[in-house]
Amino acid sequence: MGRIASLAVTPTVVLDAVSKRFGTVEALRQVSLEVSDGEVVTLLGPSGSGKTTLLRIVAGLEAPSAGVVKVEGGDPRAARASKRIALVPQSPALLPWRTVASNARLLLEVNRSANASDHPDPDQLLADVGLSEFRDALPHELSGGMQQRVGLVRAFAIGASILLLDEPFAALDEITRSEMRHLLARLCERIPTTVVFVTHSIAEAVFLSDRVAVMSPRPGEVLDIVDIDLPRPRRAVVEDDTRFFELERQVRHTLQQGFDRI
Amino acid sequence: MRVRTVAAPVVGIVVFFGLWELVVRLGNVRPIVLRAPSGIVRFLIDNPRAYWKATQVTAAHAGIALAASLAIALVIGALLASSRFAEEATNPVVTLVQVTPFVVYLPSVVLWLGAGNPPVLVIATLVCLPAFVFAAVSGLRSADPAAVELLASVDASWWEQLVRLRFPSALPALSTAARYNIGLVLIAVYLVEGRNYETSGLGFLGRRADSFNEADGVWATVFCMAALGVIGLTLIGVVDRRLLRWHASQRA
Repeated sequence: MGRIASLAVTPTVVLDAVSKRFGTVEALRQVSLEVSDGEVVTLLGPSGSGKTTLLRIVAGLEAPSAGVVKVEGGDPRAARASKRIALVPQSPALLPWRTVASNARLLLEVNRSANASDHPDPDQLLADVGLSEFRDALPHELSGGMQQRVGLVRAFAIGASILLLDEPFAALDEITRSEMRHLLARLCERIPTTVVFVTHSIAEAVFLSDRVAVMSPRPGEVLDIVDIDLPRPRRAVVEDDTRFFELERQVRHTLQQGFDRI
Repeated sequence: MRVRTVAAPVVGIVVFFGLWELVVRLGNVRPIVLRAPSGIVRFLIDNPRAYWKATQVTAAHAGIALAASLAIALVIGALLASSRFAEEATNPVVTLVQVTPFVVYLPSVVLWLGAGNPPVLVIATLVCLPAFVFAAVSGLRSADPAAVELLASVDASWWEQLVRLRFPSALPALSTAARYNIGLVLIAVYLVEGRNYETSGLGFLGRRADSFNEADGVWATVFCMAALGVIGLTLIGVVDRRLLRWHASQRA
């Protein structure tokens, strides 16, 4: 509670009435959202609700058609240029000719002048996610879950203050997916980062987040923001808690309201 | 190198020449129509030095032309891959180079550059260029869009994207083009060597033998060319296994 209250004063990400059109298609309409330093906010919504577009706008990879976007008080492109943003795409996007260790270092090897002096050690991160033995393996030798773990390490390795995750576990089976969200929660505790997480999964959203922004079907709007008051640190056992189920139900109902509007 | 890598082509060649020999001998084919491979091999054994030296010259010409063509194609490909307009503007020119029989402009090139190596290298380089350019453009563009966006998310420069992502992505397409170009470059080198007013290379030996109606001599140059082709393709295979061990084509 103290964390959120103190950080609300200095939002890391500010979206103010952001809209986005692609030709005649209205992808986002008047989205306003603030994400505080160290906060984990999830964008949850059906396919086509503009979650990924919103994430790309925050990453400075897409310009909004209207509205204002600020990342750490400035232009998202400036944050991107100074490597203050780390992206985890939906597919692991590992370079197939590079080993696990080499993939984990990839983002440190480009735009080197912007590297943080105190970025985490990729080798240590690989050890933290249980991939030390696979340092010299090629991506095709790994399972989907292991590949996505490398993707997480690659993002955390640059020591960015903002982590943007675009449905990183969408292609994984349910068991692996559950392991991955627990792993991500542990990593976020160890390396404090502001997180914007995009997902279709209500369980993932509730487990990982401080707040869940529920979005409507296209054009994407924020229907409601649900505060997740589960205690931290979050461990797998929290998913058996009655409060977890209540929050899941609350988020599901909000999501349903969006469909009812169609 | 695996035993199979060497053994398989040898088996293929032995079976092919065995069948050829059988057809000529059992079919009583007249020598003016088709020579028996045993006679051609005997001719080669009788003149080893001349053919060995000529094969080295032709190999050098082909190797240099292939390398130069690849280097030029990578530069052109990198530029074209970053601009659809540039690609569409250049495509007709590359196609013109591809479809124009080089024997048409060969005399002009020899007159312009003089006798000797330059016309051989220039024409052989040009002949290989279209396949390499097309492969480079499509290969450089084939980079995983998610990886492109990932590098963009940390503001990687155009050069960094090219070196770390696009060039490696283009390797499979370039490898296929190189296999195709091995044949083209050898044919181009052979034909220009026979018309560049020089007295070296398999092309020269073949043309001289032809002018003396020495069919075994012509076929001997063809055998040497075939050997160069097999060696070239084997080398590409070795490079592929090194550089493309990550690619599905090498894992089957």
